[in-house]
Amino acid sequence: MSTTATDRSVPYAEEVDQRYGLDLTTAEVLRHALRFVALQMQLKINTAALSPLLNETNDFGIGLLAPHAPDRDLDFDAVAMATSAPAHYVINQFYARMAIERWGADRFRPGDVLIYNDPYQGGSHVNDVGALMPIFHGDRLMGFAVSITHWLDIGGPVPGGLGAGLQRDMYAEGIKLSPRLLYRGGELVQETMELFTEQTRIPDLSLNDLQVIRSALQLGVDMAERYIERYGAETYIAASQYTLDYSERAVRRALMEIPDGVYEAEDHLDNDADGNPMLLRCTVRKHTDRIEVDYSGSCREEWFGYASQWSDTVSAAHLGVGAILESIGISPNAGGFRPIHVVVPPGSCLHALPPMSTNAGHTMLFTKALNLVKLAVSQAAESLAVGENYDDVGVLGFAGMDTRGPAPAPFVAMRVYSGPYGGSARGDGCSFTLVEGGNCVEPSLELDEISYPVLMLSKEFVADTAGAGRHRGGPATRALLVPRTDVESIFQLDQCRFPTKGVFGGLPGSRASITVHRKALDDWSAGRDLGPGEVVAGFADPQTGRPVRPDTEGARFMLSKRAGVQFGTGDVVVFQTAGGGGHGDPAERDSADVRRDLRDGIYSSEQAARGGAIDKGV
Amino acid sequence: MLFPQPTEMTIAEPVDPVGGTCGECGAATLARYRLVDYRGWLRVVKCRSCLAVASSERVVAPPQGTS
Amino acid sequence: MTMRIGIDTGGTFTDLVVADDDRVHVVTKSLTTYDDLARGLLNAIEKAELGPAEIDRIVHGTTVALNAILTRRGATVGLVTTQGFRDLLDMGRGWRSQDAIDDPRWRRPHELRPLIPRHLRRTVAERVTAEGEVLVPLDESVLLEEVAWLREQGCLSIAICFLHAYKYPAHEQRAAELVRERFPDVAVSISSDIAPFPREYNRLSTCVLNAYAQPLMASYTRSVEKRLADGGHGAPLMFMTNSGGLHTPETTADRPVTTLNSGPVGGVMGVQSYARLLDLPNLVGLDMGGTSTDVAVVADGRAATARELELEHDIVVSMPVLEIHSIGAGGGSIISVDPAGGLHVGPQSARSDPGPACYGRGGTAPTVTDAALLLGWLNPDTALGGEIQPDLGAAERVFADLGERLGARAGEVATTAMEVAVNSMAEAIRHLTVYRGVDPREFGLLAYGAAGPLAATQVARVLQMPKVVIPALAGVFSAFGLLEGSHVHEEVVPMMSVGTPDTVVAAFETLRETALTAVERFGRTADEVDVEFIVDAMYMGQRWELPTRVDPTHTDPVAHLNEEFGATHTRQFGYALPAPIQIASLRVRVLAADTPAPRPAPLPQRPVAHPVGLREVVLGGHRIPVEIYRSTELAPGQIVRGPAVLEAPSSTCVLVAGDVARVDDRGDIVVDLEGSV
Repeated sequence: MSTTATDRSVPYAEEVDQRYGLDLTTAEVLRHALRFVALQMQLKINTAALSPLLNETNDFGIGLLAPHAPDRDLDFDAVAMATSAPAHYVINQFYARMAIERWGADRFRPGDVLIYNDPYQGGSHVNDVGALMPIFHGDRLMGFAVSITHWLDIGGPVPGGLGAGLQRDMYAEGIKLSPRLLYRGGELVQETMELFTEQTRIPDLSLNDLQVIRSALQLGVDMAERYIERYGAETYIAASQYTLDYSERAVRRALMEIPDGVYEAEDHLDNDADGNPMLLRCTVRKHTDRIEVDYSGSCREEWFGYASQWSDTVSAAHLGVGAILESIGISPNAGGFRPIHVVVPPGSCLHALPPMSTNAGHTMLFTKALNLVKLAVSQAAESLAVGENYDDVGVLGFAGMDTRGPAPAPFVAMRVYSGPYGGSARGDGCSFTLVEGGNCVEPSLELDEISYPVLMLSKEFVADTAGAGRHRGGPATRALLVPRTDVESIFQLDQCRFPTKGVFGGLPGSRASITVHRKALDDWSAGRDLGPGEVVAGFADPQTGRPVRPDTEGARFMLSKRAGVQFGTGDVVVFQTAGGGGHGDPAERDSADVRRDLRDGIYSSEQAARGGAIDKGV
Repeated sequence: MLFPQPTEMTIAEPVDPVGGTCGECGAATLARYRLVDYRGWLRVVKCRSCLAVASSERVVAPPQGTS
Repeated sequence: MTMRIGIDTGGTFTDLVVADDDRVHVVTKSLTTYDDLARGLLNAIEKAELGPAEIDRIVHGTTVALNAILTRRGATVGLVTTQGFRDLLDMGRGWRSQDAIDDPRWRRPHELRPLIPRHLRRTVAERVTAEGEVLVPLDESVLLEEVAWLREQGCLSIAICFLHAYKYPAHEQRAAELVRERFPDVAVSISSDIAPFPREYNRLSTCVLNAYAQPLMASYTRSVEKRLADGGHGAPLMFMTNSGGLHTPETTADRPVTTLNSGPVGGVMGVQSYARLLDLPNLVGLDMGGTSTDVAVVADGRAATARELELEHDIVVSMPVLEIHSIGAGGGSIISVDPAGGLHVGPQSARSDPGPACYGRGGTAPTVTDAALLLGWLNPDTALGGEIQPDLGAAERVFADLGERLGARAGEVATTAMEVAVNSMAEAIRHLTVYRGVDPREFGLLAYGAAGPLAATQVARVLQMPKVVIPALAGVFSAFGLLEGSHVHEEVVPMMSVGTPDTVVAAFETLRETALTAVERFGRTADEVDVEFIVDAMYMGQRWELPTRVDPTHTDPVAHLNEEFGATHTRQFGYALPAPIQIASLRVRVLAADTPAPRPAPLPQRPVAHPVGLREVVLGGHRIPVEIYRSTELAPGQIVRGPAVLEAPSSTCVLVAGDVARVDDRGDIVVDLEGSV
């Protein structure tokens, strides 16, 4: 029912029986069961992985692909996905299925694990490693357990990847695997493992985490096979179809909430590699239960990481539609994405063509593409509208030598930053969580300080940064980091140039920025005022390097995404997210809410809370 | 397959108007263009008003070839 | 003969069990008195009609502190923390809850309902590094100014949490000393004392919860002690802890966070008793209550532990606790159909007010209890919980409405709903077994609580478990389990270091020394106890600890730890690594050796009970006439074959075809599930 499904009503028990050959009880029990399995696969990764991106940051997607059964319109579709990073929900639908097609579905044997990471084959970026394992019932292939896991380092010139400005094209990104076996019939394929142990900067971690992936996929395969054993292959296939159709119905129902119409939004990424802003456009066409997201009019792809994969953008569009709908609890599977069409012109920055690099573009453009859908649909109704959240997954990573132990050891300390969301009809914006594409557990800084020679001296909300509104945005978070050895850094942080947008009279939040106070740890420790610092990302005075307001004549914009920037021992690096955009006119804000914000120091004055002149600059 | 960087600064999907009217809503707004659905790439003839798809064919994803 | 009393204050009833070492003598149930909980407790004791001299010990389980937290009726509390970290409570662990993964309108529970609003969260200059270097000394004068200000705002309880205090507590200890000296009327909780573990948010959350519940718990313990003294009950009062140990009223008043879960833990301890009593060392406990179902695992005679207790999304108590996995599917859970036709059981609940539709108190939402009534599992002619006459018509109406949306009859929807609920419970058990490499087919299922026995054999059958146990005291099982509490004591030593030959040898030495202290604190001699040694460890870089039992007298500690941890890791994940092991903490558990758990009073010899009636019951979608038995009439040794319904005063057990129930001499019912394996 891929393109023709228009049935929006709840199917009657009798129809469930007729259409799927299932009694309602079995259908519902198996629909829930598939989701349970995916959630447990996720937990398996969390509990055993060494990589902080997997054990706490949740930067992976995992779940099950349905069987191939053309008579039931099933083609290895993603039938159940766990709740880790939502950016990875749908991408399996393209990444895994293209790998299966390329490898050949008839070549799989029980216990095989296929691994691949070519982002141009339906993927996201080269650090996202895909893996899958077949599910069998006797000799019959019944689908796959699949995963995408972000690898902390995949080789190449930039530790940790995401090398905006350093990786000109795809040849500079690291190792890239066409589909190949990691396990053959349950046996580890040593030479595949060696690609990771020889060519990445994280051999020990890879040795563990590749086995963790297998362990999690095996759990999915075992559980699926148990259900198939218990209910029979035909029932399992029918239940897969029922589950996908269920999600499709849920999304079509929810789409009816959006008034029909054409909605447009535009936004800019702070800069490309040369410092020019990158225009992004999005048109959302909505009619009854159909929706089309069109990114035509966005700027062209640029070298050095300022481009992303079409599959990534499609995933972002799907997630954007899911996010803006008020109905929550939509099961993340391919059925839910059937009603959504995405137009993403080749050669635009949202649809890279080889040999462009998409390593850095993945996170920043994914988030922009997702937020554009929300911004566009926000115009449709105040009740749906959401102020813009901080966007791009804020990343700051340090690489260097840890000299604290008996022998110097290389380290890569990468942290992704949560931040504020915009106000909505429901209330103020959340102060602190990750962009929708991810759902990190905030890593413990105590454990990080044990693991890496980097101090975090502060992580706190900043007054007068929340976009004012009847419902305000969340305040910005400012973090202070101090490497205790000389390091090379990578960073990505958007909205240093263009602030968040408010909706329906709500105001923008403050801009993001990165500054550094050189060799200032001792001054900080002594409680001395560190002064304004030197701009790393944001608007600077070209002579002094100090922060200035964006409208200052001659102000120079320092790129907000870079790799290879050096910091020295004792430098205090200040990383500040944007503030969330407001919803509704701040003059209408409830006075009790204003009083509470003043008491709590979210705003320093009533004037600021009401949207008066607050400092959006720096 | 490798591609040159486009020379134009912004990129739009070419939309070719198609004659006739939409079988569902009757509007004369049919057009042919490429899009991605949950399974991959399609070339469709689709109504720009009611978003009904008049016809569609699977095509190769552009990075894998010209389509 | 000396008696022990277990007394569990629940939402509706205060349950009491009195036993000596061998057998239970008295069981009572009385209404919980919300206005004065201590009075209800005393009522229960008086109802038991015991002379005070006979009582050796009173063990109490209570949710006073937990409820204060969940309803935000705790104290006005101030927080003092390291400069730069004022907002950790509002940041939590960053992630969104399961039901809000892609919801841009979601807000954190602490933002919406703060335990400590931002203006009462203060910071002070101080900073110690992970290596113990004092980067910034504690600014004592600012500390006292801030606390003085907080006190002016009405804070009589203060939480203090500084970074890296799990290992370097000097600043916290100094701060506590200063505050206590200057403000003797202010209660102080410091994180290094309450939860000395790394992970700043988890430790801070635990410390804040302690401070929040502290004044209330202090006055509660005082009033209970006073009531007992006034009533002439001189026996020592002890509180059950989250980990199955016992605390004095003084410790409980200082550390209420250690007893938050004491009621449910009582139930798990009861499962542990039964593992010993019935010689079934592997048991899964299933407690179905009004809003949720709790599951716990006892393997090899020991209840499993977890590293934290999550009260709400990211509102956590971070310390070793007995692991209880809770799902939002209980008797009062609402059954709903979403707009796309998906059927859901919970997590919304009709609670006790208005309760299920069949309570006839204005509830209009169909619940699990309504479904059970409709399917004939519950008796329409018997008062629910001995209190409420069920309204079958009301249950039929709400399911008919639901059925209309699905084109199905009321009974069909009820069948689907119960099947979804049964499978959700089975999934909760899988969470603690299958997914950790533990095979549930090697476990029995022990069902208790008012609704636990209802579908227990069906849950067990989903998992191919061979046996179900319905204990004679299923209705007061948590109170019964509290009696077990006197038999365990645990000491935790945080360590957080890499397992080098030196550190492992030192760790084993610490374990041996701690054991001596632990046995002494337990008040026993070495030959009266069993001691277990547990290392909570992970491979370097992992962030989730796995508990591993070790023998600290082993001659090659490093090889031994590698081997034991490797085996644990392999059981869970299928492989071991040649990687360094990080030791998070050391635990010593002291267990009283050979202490027999009391058994229920023996059943009198009597003739085999006959069915009291025949009722139409829907099982597996088929309506069949089923024999009904009164559990209180069953004779020792009697066998009942399913399908059948066993009705006890406070619970009902449905047996399906193939179930063979055997009543033992104490009224415990052990059901063999033929065809299950």
